Formats: sequence, structure tokens, C-alpha cells
Amino acid sequence: MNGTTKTPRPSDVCGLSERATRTLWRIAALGGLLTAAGWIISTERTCAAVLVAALWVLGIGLGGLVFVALGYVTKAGWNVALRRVPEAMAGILPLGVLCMVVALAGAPAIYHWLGGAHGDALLEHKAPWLNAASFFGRAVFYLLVWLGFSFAIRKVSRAQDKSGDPRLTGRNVVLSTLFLAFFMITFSFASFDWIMSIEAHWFSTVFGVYCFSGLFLAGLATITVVAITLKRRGLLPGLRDEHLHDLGKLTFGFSIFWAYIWFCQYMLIWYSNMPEETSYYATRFHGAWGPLMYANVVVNWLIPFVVLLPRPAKRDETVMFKVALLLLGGRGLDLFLLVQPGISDTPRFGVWEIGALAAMLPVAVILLFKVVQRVPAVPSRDPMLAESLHYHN
Amino acid sequence: MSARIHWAAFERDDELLRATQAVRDKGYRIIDAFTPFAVHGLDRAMGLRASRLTWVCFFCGLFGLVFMTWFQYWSSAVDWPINVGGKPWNSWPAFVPVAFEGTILFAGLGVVAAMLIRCGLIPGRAPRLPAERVTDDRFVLVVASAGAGRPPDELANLLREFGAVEVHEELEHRAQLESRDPSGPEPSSAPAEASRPEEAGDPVAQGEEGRS
Repeated sequence: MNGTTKTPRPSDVCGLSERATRTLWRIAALGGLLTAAGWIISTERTCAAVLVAALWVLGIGLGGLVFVALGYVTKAGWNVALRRVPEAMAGILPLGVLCMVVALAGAPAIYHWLGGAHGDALLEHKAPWLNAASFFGRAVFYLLVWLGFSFAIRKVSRAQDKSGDPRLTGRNVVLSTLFLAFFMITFSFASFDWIMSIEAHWFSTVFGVYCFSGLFLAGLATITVVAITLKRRGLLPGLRDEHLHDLGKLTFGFSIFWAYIWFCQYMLIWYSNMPEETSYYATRFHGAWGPLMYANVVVNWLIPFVVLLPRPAKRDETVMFKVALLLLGGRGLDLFLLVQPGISDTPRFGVWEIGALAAMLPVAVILLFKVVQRVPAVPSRDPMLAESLHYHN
Repeated sequence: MSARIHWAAFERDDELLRATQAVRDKGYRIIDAFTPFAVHGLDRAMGLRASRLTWVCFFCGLFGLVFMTWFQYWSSAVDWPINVGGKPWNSWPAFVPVAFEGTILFAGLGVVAAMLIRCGLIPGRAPRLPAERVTDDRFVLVVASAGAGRPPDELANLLREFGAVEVHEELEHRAQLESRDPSGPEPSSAPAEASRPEEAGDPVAQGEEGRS
């Protein structure tokens, strides 16, 4: 492994081949048409499906940005060689915001409280927070500030490529600190607004933390999948087993964290056994949703936990790739179970659900690989790069 | 014991790492490395086999999980059932937090205890240090000297090439180490160590040498 790794990049070597890109665009176009049709034919169902897909894409951007910011705040050195991957994820945040705007355009179909309280005492009590003006106002505010931070942090990182000024790292530490403080609070509120208020009678104070744990776990899985894909094509030569090992440790840890928070929420509600709280799990564990709830825990915690427990597994490219893919599927299932049971009594996964996913996810994949290849694969003048290329676990 | 050894002191951990790898590549036998803190990658450079402590950790954790689950079941459903909020006596969600913490407690304490016992780090044990500065700012590599058929200066030169600030060739490795010992048979030879026993007892420096 030698110093600053910069291999010449022939134009035909891409993270995503021409053919795959074309196919993905076609799928996205088809998905877009389906979603447009579904919006007219089956509005509520399509809007819910769009919300799931939009949260997924938004989560890729936010997960990447949180990873980058955490790296700066903790002054981590190990992650520098692969930092362009989460930076690219933060780079597709505009797409996530766009998807979210589309999803919120369908808000009246999903959030029933938007139509007014109609004498519902609980909704009247919550009206100062849950009303149309403040709901959309908050959404615009959150999304714009997150976007602003993602532009600023990425811009500073790119500026360092040119100037090599170590003070730019310090500037990003400040930006990252501000972002994380702002994000952790606003993302919690955003989760209340966009997901929890689907079942507006129900409430849980740990809900934002739960949503964050899923977001960050999926972010780590996305970083792993993209980084390994790029490495296999020779586009990320700085990626070593040590990086995989650390990504593996984080994935393992946050998988446990996700399960921990899942159980935190569940156990308190189970213990106190109050009807206004248990309704959430009664819906989800009774009937056809039940097996999916169990599958969710198996996919997002049990399998990653058992597989990533031994040290060699975390350093194995194939194992890490497969676990990360599984976790990406788990992310979809988790979001599905957060949103859909509030809309429908039974799980529905048909043409409208597939259409919404097909409309948004392929575009995210295409843009992600485009953004990651538009900049040098390694932040070559980051003062921590040498550490990242040589450290040992 | 009358084996000849070389010991070399380095000022930086990465010099020690590179020297260790190079010396081993040349076919010399590493006896041990002494460092003031845990140096990542040193175990691989020394060619140590994978630690079996992970298995101790795993089975201690498994034991904690099973034991705590069983104990809660036995105490709340068998031996002394108490009605809590109308829940069934055997309610697994209530057992999870304690079982979880029990897993971590047993795994954590178990693996530390196993490591201390395996390294012989029991109270009152005499520290074995090649030089007192390995508890402060020196990284010492101890290598078995070459047998016949090797250029006599090769090893010393190699060590210096990688940045060793001191290289000594000594006889009777074990006796040498023992004599530097504050409580050893020759206290007069080591007054400095004797006056600072707390430094000589640095657990990190000793943890590194547990496999000698």
C-alpha cells in the first residue's frame, strides 16, 4: 500500500456500467409512470409507498452526511481514505429532498389530522404542533438547513484537495459539530412529523432515536456496499481490510444499537400496557403484519449480529458486502413497517409499492455513482490521509 | 539458560513495528516486544497466533445470557412468583434487559480475568522488564541472536537500520530480565526500579509480554 493512491481512471471504468445505467433509467421512468398513474387511481396507497421510498433515499443522503460529520467531530483518521463515499451520499441529498417534497405533496392522503381534528380531543390537543402551516414550515426548514450543511461540508472538503490547508479540517469540525447538534434534534422532530403522525393518536418519545438508528445503520451499509463495489472496479484503491474491519465494527455496533432502541420502545409500552400506546404494537403484531415484525428483527439485528461477531468476518469483503446488502433490504422492511401499518390493515406489496421504489431508488443509485466519480477518489491532501492509509486495528 | 539475545530500544512505535517485521522476515526468532502502550499491528508483525481469548469471551457471554435468563425465570416464575401488572410470571420481555447486561458483564469480566490469569498477572508477581523506560517512552524488541552461519553483526545492523537507538547483545536472557527486577535477587543492581515500583507494575507493558 503506497502513499497517496491515485490510479489513472480510464473513462470506460465506472462504478456503474453504461448498460446498467441505461437499464436503471428505464426502470426509474417506468416507476415514475406507475407512480403517476397510482397517484390518480389509488392515491392513499401510492402516497404511502412514495413516502417509504422517499424516506429511504433521503436516509442515504443524511446517513452519509452524519458519517462524514461524525468523522470530523471525533477527529477520526481511519475513515479519510473512504470518506468520498459518504460525501457522495451526502451529495445526493438534493435528490432525497426532492423525493421528500413529492412525498409531502401527497401528505393529505396519509396524514389524516391534516384534514382537521373534527372534535377528536387528542388531535385538538396536538393541534398547536400538528397543523398544516407548521408541518410544512418545519419540513421546509429542516430540509433546507440539512441541504445547506451538506453543501458547506462537502465544499470545504473539496477545497482542501486544492489548497491542502489543514485549517479547512478545523472549519469542517465546527460545521460538523453544528450540523450534528442541529440534526439530532430536528431529525427527531422530523420523524415525529413524517412517520409518527401517520398514527396521530400514538406517541413515543424514543421514536426519533429509533428512526436515527435505522438511518445510520443503513448509511453504514450503503457506504460498505458502494466502497466495496468501487474497490472491485479499481476505483477506490485506498480501501483496505482495516477500513472494512472498522466499518464492520460500526455496522455490528449500530445493528445492536438499532435492536436496543427497538426493544427500549417495545418494552416500556409492553410494561405499562396503556391502550393508547399499545395500539401501535397491537396493530403490528396481530395478523399478517406479525411475521414481518419478527423478520425485521432477524434481518436488521440477529443475522448481522451472528455473522459479524467473529473478527475475520468483519475483514472479509464478501461477507461484509452480503451483510450490508441484507441490511439495505432490512432498511426497506423497517421503513415499510414504520409507515404502512398506519395506512392499511394488511401488508400490501404490489404494483404501486414497487412503482414508487422503482421510481426513486434507481435514480439514487445512478446519481450516487456519478457523484462519487466526479471528484478524486481520495481526499489527497487531508492531513489525516496518511493515518488512514497506514493504521492497524 | 544461556541463549544469546539482542535487545534493541526504539523511540517510536512504527519503528518497532517495521523492525519487528523485518527481523522476522530475515528468519530471526522474536522473543518478545515491550511497549508502554498497546501497539496495533504488533501481534501480526510478531507472527503471534490469533488470540484464543475471543472464545473465552464468547462462552462467558453465552453463559451470562443463559444463566441470567434461567435465574430470572426460576426466581420470578418458579421459586417466588409475584404478580407484576397482571403480566404472566414467565414474561420474556421483562427478562431481556438483565439477560443483556448479564451477557456483557460476564463476557467483559470473564475475558479480563482469563487474560490476567493466562499472563500470570497476579498480585505480588515480580515484573519482568528489559529496561525501565519501556513503561514510559521506549519500545524494546528482544530477538534471539543468530546461531552459527550468520554474519555476527547482521542483526545489530538491521536493528539500527530501522532506527534502534540502543542495541545490546546479552547472555542469558532470563537471568538478565530477572536481575532487573526490583524484588529480584540482585536489588543493588537496580536501585532506580526499586524506588519506583508503581512504574514497573504498568499493566500495559506487561500485558504485551504475556505470550513470551
